[in-house]
Amino acid sequence: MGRLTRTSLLAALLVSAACGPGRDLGLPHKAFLPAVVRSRIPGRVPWETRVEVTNPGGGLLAVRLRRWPPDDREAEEETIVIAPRSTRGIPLRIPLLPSVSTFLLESADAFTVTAVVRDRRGGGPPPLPIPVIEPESLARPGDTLRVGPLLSDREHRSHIGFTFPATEREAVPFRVRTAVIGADGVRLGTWEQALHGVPQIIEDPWAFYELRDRRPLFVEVTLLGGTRGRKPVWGLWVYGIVTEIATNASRFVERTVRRGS
Amino acid sequence: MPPPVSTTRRLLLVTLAWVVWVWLIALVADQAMPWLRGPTKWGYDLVRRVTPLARWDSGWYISIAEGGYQQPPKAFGQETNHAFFPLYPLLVRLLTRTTGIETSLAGNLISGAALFGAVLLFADWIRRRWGEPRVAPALFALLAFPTSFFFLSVYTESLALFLALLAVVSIDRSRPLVAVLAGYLSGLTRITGVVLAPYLALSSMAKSRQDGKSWGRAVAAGMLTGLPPILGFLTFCAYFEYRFGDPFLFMKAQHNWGTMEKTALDGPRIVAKMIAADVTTGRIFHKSPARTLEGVFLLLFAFLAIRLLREKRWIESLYVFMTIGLVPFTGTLESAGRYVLPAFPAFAVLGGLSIRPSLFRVAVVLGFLLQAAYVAIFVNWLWAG
Repeated sequence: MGRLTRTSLLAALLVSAACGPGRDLGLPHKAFLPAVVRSRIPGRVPWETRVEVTNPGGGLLAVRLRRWPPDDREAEEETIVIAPRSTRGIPLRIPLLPSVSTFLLESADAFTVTAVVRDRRGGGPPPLPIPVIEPESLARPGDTLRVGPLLSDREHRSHIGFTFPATEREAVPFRVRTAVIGADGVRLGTWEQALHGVPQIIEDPWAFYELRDRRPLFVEVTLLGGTRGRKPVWGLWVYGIVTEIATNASRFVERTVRRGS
Repeated sequence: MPPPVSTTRRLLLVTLAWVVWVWLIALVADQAMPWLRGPTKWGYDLVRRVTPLARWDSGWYISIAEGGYQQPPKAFGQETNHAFFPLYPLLVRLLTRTTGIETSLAGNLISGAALFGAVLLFADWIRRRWGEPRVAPALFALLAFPTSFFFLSVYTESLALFLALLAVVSIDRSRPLVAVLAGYLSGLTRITGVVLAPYLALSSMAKSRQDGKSWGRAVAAGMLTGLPPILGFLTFCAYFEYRFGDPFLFMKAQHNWGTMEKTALDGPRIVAKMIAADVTTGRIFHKSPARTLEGVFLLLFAFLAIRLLREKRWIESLYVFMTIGLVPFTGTLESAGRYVLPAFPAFAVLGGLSIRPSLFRVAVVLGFLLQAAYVAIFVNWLWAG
């Protein structure tokens, strides 16, 4: 073998090794919770997410939970065992707001999961159910997520969140192109940005995107890829939440995924 | 004729041994001293994934490599990444995107590669001026300098050193095109590229005269070689003007980090006030020893520049003076130990201490020990450098 060939082969091996293993699709049953939060801001509602996993089967169920980000590195991954035909609450182990975390649950057997954000003290605003998403529905490079309408007026405020599961740790930061579109269909602007390695909230999209007025709007986010050139395992999720100012009652706005070619 | 003591292989081996030393200290400091860890504003993901030699300003380089320059600051106090020159993060981005490796690791690899290149050029540069016996001591002086570990960190120091030496050695070797290219790139690497301009111009003029060229041709050659670092710097300014409408955004961004609004011109006055306060309040060592040491490094390099002057090495002396002269304009002394690193002629003078072998050995050992302490506190977020 020639020296040049040997060198090329070695270089190719090094590059492929550096790019890491292929896509690990994990266990067959999965659920992704795109927004898990808890807060302790004085004078504000002490939000806390209640996550419960149910084992509908007759045997013990082992669920692998991956938090991103957790409150400590040792809490990144945990195996939760659930008795037959029973439900168990999941310890949060996540940082406080303004950080938002995600949970990815995986198991060899079927399970169901529910998650609601509620006032930790009880009572207060109505609980907000968190959508449980199949990781397959996350946006892959080239896909576009559309959320809206987002409202900002005397009665409402809205925020959006860019989230992804812990599986994307090696692929992030993600590059995204965000188009902001008025409810009348007028495109108000397009931005490209890098999303850092943990879920990110935009508290006030109108201020963040420097919009002239607070008209209702839609946000279309296209995942361009990872800034490190690595392919995502599952991908990106974007959500929008509208909150009634008077009652603190919140709801997720409609979102659609448009698959890229 | 005997072969040179400092063969390429030996130089690289010494440098490699030093690289292993610094990385070993950094890894041990990162893993075994959690009790020493200071606070950081970095996010969970970045803290989790970066190498131990990526701290403080490394985060800005990583942010440029991964996401480009941010939107300009809207108010005083808003910290942004515009103070950092583009070449280094651009190289980091290229390496990251082509190999998929972690961004800070790519930064460490580029810094390391630049250092190995710089060491070979440094040896060549010393050999031509002081002769073979000075090469090894000067290299030890460079590597044992307490803040030299920045050459391996996600910082621009080693790239700046490499490009400066490449330009100067290319003038020595009558390779003007390489000198022009290296000079231009150094202007895109860090602000020290600007002070490289007069050094390259004067070196080129001196070389032309040495080669028997007329004064006219020597001046033309000097202009040709001295302009590229300025052009590199102006390219950076032009990019900011084109993209953000402010050619001096990097200065604005740097001064935005302070506790009070100021410009580069206020810097020397602020530094003088700080020194006066430290001296009059007796804070010199017990309150802020690291800051005091930065001042000591600055004085040391001023002394070394004077030594160069006494050796009639005017051009080198001017370069060292101009490099350390940048420090007061930053408005703080706290990065002085790092800012002096590209002033490579000073290390050649330091190497001259080897005429007293026992003193030189003590100095080198003390340098390495202080360096280990600096690495440990840098890695644990206690000192930014």
